[in-house]
Amino acid sequence: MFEGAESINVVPDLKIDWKGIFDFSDLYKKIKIWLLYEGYGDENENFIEAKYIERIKPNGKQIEAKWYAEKPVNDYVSNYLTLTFTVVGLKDTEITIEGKKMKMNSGQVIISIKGDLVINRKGDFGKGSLLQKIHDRRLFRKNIELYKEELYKKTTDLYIEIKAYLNLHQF
Amino acid sequence: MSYNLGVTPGKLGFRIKKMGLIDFNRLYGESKMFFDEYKYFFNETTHKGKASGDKGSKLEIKWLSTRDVDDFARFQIKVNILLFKVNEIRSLYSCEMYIYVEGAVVLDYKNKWETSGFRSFLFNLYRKHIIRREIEKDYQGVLYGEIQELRGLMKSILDEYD
Repeated sequence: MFEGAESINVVPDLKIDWKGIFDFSDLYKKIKIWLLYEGYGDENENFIEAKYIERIKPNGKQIEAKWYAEKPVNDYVSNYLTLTFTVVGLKDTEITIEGKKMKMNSGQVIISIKGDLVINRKGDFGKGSLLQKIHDRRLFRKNIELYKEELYKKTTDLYIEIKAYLNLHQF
Repeated sequence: MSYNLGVTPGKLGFRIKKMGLIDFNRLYGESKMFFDEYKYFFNETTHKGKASGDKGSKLEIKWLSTRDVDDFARFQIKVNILLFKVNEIRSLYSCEMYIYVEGAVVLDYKNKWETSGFRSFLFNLYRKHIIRREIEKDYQGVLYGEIQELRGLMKSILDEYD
């Protein structure tokens, strides 16, 4: 983010925590594909895997990963998603579904999603400038509310996708 | 700094307990609709599930819903749902369920007042003496009514007396 850019938290950490059978590699790929499809996932432009740590423990693999994905809405505003993955006790397992053997994982996966709206993203206004205050509070206020709603919908969509993948309850 | 005024009893708020068969999908869906209807900004902050074989699975769901009433006050409802020994029986769930509903009015949620000691003093004076009745009637009273409605809705879905 440029100096002077301001981040507003729109969606607090939404946490999905599942312990059981799942396919972690597939889940990881599916989330990346979703980000790519929605315009957040270009590794050369707006996506960073800021952390990926894998440890081998006696009870299985332990993985920690953090993704930052940004999508510019226009020159002034962008959506900023932060995804955190924590996997504990990940082991390979085989299950039989309708007579077919499938390779899966067992363990616990915790995924957190946070959505922030970045305004003044290029730092065109100086930090805390009077002009920016007038712009944001008077002229641009309604637009910011609309951008917040859109970001909220997008973040919730991703959350629902992950829940659907893990076969958790839906609204 | 914002100031929270609780409208529900205790630390955890109202508690609803149910043991037996429940229509969890209906409870889940209709509670979400309640928040949509009242224009709350709904967030499911936690969805924690654990498959535990013969004993049945465990589920923990936390919701945080907020609605900005005006520039000064925000309504906040936290719902914590805990399910133990969950077994699915023909689209219903046999389980032990606890629901906690907690509500609070968040005053000065935009942190405009308490930026200095003097402003903090003014904020307390304003809150405790000048608009005390408005806070009780227009904020706490209204939120309490909405929470009672949510509680009633949940109890009716769970076939409990209200």
